Amino acid sequence: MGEKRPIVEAKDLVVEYGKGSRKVRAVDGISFNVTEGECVGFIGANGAGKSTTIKTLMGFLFPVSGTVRMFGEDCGTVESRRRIGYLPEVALYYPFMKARELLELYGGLQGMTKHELRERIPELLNLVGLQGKGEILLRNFSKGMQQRLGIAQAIISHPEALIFDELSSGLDPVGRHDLRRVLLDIKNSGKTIFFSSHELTEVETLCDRVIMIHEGRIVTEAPVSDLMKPLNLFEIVFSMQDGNTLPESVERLGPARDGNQYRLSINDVELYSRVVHELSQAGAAIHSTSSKSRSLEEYFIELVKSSGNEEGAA
Amino acid sequence: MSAESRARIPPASTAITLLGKGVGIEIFRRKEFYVLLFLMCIYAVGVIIAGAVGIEDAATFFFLLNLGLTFAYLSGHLLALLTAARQVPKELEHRTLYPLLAKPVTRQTYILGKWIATTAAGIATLFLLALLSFVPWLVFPEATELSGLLFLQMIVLGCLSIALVAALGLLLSLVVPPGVSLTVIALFFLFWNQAKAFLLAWYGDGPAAGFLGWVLQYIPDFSKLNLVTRYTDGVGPLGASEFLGLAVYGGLITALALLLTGVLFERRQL
Repeated sequence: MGEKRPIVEAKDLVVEYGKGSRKVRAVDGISFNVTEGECVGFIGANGAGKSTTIKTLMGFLFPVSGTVRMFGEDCGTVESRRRIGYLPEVALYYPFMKARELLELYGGLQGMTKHELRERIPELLNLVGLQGKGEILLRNFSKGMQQRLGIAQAIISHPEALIFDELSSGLDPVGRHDLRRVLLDIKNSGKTIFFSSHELTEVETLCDRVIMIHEGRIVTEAPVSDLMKPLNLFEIVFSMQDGNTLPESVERLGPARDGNQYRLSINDVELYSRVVHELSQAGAAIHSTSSKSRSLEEYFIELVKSSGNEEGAA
Repeated sequence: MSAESRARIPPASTAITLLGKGVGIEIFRRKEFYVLLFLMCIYAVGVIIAGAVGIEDAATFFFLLNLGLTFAYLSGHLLALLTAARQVPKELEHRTLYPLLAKPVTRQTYILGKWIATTAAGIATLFLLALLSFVPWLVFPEATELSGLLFLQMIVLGCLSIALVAALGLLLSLVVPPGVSLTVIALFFLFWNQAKAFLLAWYGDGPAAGFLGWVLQYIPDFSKLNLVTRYTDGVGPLGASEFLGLAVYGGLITALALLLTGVLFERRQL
């Protein structure tokens, strides 16, 4: 097996909006790659530059400087777009069309034949939970149904890579669950997925790697497992009995005292084992131990807040 | 989902047909066309009533024919303009442009598809309503002394005029809001001939009159392509060179407008 080829290559990408004094730098020199078969989450607060980056990948926006390549081609070429399934951020599809007609339009534009579409459309509507809705006018579709249809149009031709902007926008919990299932299937089939989302549990569940962007710059780029590792938190609730004193090494960790009970939080697995051992040796009664992982969401919020604080301090 | 990708780059003709079909469905399911058809039916009923109450002179026939053909002519243009001017702005507003242009379709193909579809819709409207405008013929069968060749010339130049209005509708919709583009083109369509005559009369002796005249001749003059009144006035057909000159005039301005639209849209940040 050779090295996996890059599907998306962004290098020193700068994208600006507006002109003159109203010029806004939405993306500020970011570089990243997405390789074949990877599932990468692109997360950031509102206005961080996620959609701008994705629109640039698709060739809708032109960078001021830097390069973007898709499948080794310049972004936005017909050949690169042939191989991509794209879901825009909340689209309201043509209200005068029926779901089947819309999928025929998008499938046809992907070069699919009428015969292929006849087979694919019912299968696809079933997959996204819109079975039996093919002949309904889209003006009667809810926001969630439109989003499901958007996902259907993106995957209609079994593209090699998927680029989704705000993946689960407008979907209810059932819709999000269904979508995760569809995407897991796609991921397991070895396809490449790159998506932005506000739903961080989705990112945790689906992604191999996460790229976090804040104010146009990448602040973290790491495998999900690496981001979760330092987040392990252990909590021990104990009390000292029969006049035993708190070991000095434990006291230094600053446990919170509530009556005769102590509560201690530790974020290192080795230290946690050592403390439990020392407390046992010292005759402490350990009432409960628990371990918890902070969610990616908590990590993200801390990161964004700390960036804000740094800027405030500067 | 383990299936191999079935995506191919469709031929431009297929993409244009599909985009055109989309516009066709839009027109078919919106109200505008039916409103125009309804108004034309009211006209036809009015003509039949006029015949029934005994208004049968030739002047009335020509007046009614002019009224019907003018309405059909305007309706074809109006439908093409309304449809063309909202295509790109609506697609941007509803974000449907993004999944469309994410498919292997060039921006030029997109513009060409929209233009062909809106032009075809306008021409189809012109044809259908023009048929109804001939109801006076049923009511006044003796009044038939009109030139068949001029009728053909009127239809050909009318189609070119619709193609031009659709191209201008698409072009202006890229630079100004749809309401503004509709108003500007409608004003040009209806009053440019008079406005140009007024400008030349008012500034005809000025130091830069020659330059003004030169500039004004490059602004599309729809009245040159409108032969409805000439036809219903019973005037003879245009000479071959004059007709060809007008056809080339309409074709060239349309091509220029489309070219500009393509260039602007290609460079536009979406």
